[in-house]
Amino acid sequence: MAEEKKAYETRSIKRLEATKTASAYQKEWFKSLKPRVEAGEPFALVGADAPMEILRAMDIPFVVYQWWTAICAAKQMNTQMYGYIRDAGYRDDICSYCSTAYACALDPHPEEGPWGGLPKPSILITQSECAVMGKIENLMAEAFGAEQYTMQRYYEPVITDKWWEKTIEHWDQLANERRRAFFERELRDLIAFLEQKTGRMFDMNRLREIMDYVNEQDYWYRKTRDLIAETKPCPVTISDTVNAVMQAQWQRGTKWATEHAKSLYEEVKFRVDNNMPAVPNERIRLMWIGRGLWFNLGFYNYFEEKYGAAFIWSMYLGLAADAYGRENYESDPLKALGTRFSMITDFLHTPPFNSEWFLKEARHNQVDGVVLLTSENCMNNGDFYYNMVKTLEDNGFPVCLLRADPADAKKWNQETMTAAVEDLIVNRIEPKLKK
Amino acid sequence: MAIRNEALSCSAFAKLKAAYDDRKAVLSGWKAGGKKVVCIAGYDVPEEIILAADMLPFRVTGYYGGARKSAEKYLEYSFGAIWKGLWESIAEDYAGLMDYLVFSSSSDMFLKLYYYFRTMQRLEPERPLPELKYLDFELVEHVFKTQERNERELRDLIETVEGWSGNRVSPDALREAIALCNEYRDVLTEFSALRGKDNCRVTGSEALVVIGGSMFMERHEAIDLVRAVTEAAKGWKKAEGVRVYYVGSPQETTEVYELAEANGVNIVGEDHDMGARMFDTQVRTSIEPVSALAERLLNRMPSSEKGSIAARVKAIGEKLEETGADGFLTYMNNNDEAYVWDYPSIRKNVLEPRGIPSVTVQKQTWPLTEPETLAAQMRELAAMGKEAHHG
Repeated sequence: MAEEKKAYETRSIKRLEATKTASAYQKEWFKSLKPRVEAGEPFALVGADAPMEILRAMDIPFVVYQWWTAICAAKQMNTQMYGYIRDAGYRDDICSYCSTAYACALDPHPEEGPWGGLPKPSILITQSECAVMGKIENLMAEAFGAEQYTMQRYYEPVITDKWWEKTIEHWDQLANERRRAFFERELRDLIAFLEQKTGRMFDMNRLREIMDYVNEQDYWYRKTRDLIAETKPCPVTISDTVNAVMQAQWQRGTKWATEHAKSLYEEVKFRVDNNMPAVPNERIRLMWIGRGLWFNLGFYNYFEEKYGAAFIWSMYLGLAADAYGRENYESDPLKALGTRFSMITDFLHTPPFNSEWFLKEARHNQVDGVVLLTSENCMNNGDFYYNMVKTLEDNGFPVCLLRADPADAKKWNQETMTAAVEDLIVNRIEPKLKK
Repeated sequence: MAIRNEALSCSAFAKLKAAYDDRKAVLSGWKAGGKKVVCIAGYDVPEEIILAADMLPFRVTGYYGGARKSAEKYLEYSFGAIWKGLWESIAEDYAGLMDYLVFSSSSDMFLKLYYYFRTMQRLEPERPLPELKYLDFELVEHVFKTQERNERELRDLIETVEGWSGNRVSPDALREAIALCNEYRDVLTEFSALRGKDNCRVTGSEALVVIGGSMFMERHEAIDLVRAVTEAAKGWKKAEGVRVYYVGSPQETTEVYELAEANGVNIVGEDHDMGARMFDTQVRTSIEPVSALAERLLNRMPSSEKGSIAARVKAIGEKLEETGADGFLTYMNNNDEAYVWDYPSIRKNVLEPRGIPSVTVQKQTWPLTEPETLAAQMRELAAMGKEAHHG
């Protein structure tokens, strides 16, 4: 499938070696995956919330299907993919972020997909975050002939102010004992399922190694995030970091990913030490809340050139820095892991956890304004944007809301979206800076 | 065809309709009468526990009195018509009337609204919002740990309502409440037999009024009135229209059903909780009451939003047999479209083998923005249903 030529530049400027090496590594990893799967090894397709460390500890390769959506979008393949869904009698204009992998199952030429196409999974592990996702997962499992395993969710609400101060060292305070025990049991049940399905035995010591790697990886992400936050002008932008972080997160808990996170930090530090700003004319720092605009990462660069406005923050690095690490886990690795995989949704999508964190990050990163992308065709969309906008704006961070589909380029209107961000810059941020 | 004169002239029906049409008056009356009321947002909150604590359960439904200004202000576009209506009721229309509000995990949107209102209590502490409780049931996976989990949630609810009411919920009180609610579901089932194939005496909109109206009154009175309507309706004229089974967004008013009836379609069964799904499963009386209540949660017809596709295909097949429907309608509010992923499997495995025609209505709003288009779709379904029936 040839990449579609757009009237505007969809590719972003890549300043970092770490971005290129992450893409190259993923591509190679993917190539090595195909023969393994074809030889009969288990292969799991998982939701973004699945506890990937368990799979890694059992040496079961996996692909996160929402991340696969991002890869397909970046390759400009999604619009075609959704056509397969439409042809099968489904709507091609909803739930795009979660339905790409299903579309791949319907693709008559799957080998023409990104990196040689998605191998056929034998296991589908999900934690159905929304009802629609559950149904799409049913369809995926059937189409691929994979066995579906759904982990239960549990939303026992615990108001935790400043959760980011507890995640790493005091994760036991994030949830009450009932919720911690619940998720530990979910993990144990998953392990039992995987052992039975694959004949592979779970190894707790291997999990400990993986968690050590994750902690180290996230330590480097914290240092990178802090460095970016504190450096004006910014050494890198999100065009540099989203891919570098997301692809390495896919390999989370490996030596490679940990070293990659360290190399990312060192590269950013080098730029700081050698006065190499990403946007030499930086006047405005922006925060991007929401999913990455995968099919058009070049969008961000336009504002750098024209306004000296740099998008310096996205959730990919921010969340990796604040939400994933779990120290002091030794006595109970499964409980510690449970408090992570079960709570990412709370941190990101649940008020007031999300708004308080975004505000903290806006302050820390010294941003001047916020662009909030709301995923237009996501049935589960709803993070209480009113509260997010109010929280940010009441504290001096003007917000521009964009309604768009981050996975499917066909409805994207470059002109309208550019105008909306320009309005934020010209009419709300610049007058404030002049004062 | 709309709600017919013979129904309107039945005094029991008229009483049920009065409650159905003015739910706020019911809540206000209860509150003024000094009864403790627990409001319910969700389709799986067991009323039995509330009744056993000597409190009154009140189902909160959407606001249909005009523009939903508060919902438009606070909620994002992903909230469909039902959810915006519910927000408006809780935030504005029923403000000050509710002391306690229990959400259940019947839909992801109930969880969101619970979180949103909890945040509103911090954002706007002066706003008169009720005390909130969320019941986090698992409703899909039929395994032992689900039963255990749901029992634990129910025991939590018991503890909560005991605190609210000051009354202990004894096993005997719970058994008594279960018996009462089973009787209530029984009379609704008997009434619904009058939507049956060979003796269809009530229209879909009349059924909605009886089922819905009975929700907004004390159970003993509801039982008596539903029985009285059932007796009276046996003598009503046969309901006309092509028999259609409905799946999709809940209908909290009769507007869509009446529009269907005016265009030749009579809805004879539905999978939503303002209709037949509400009373589709009884609570077993031979086992420990909390276990029995938890068991019912899993034995209910899989909901259109949460049920797996395989479970839905099976359940819809059974419902089509049960209702003898000649047509199938999927009706989805904008952004309330989980059902769209079921439909091709239902069509292939259930509708096509039975030769049942179907129409899928999508992106609906309240108020209806294109009633003429909807009417045309209903006429199309009626024509196809007639042909299938006679063909």
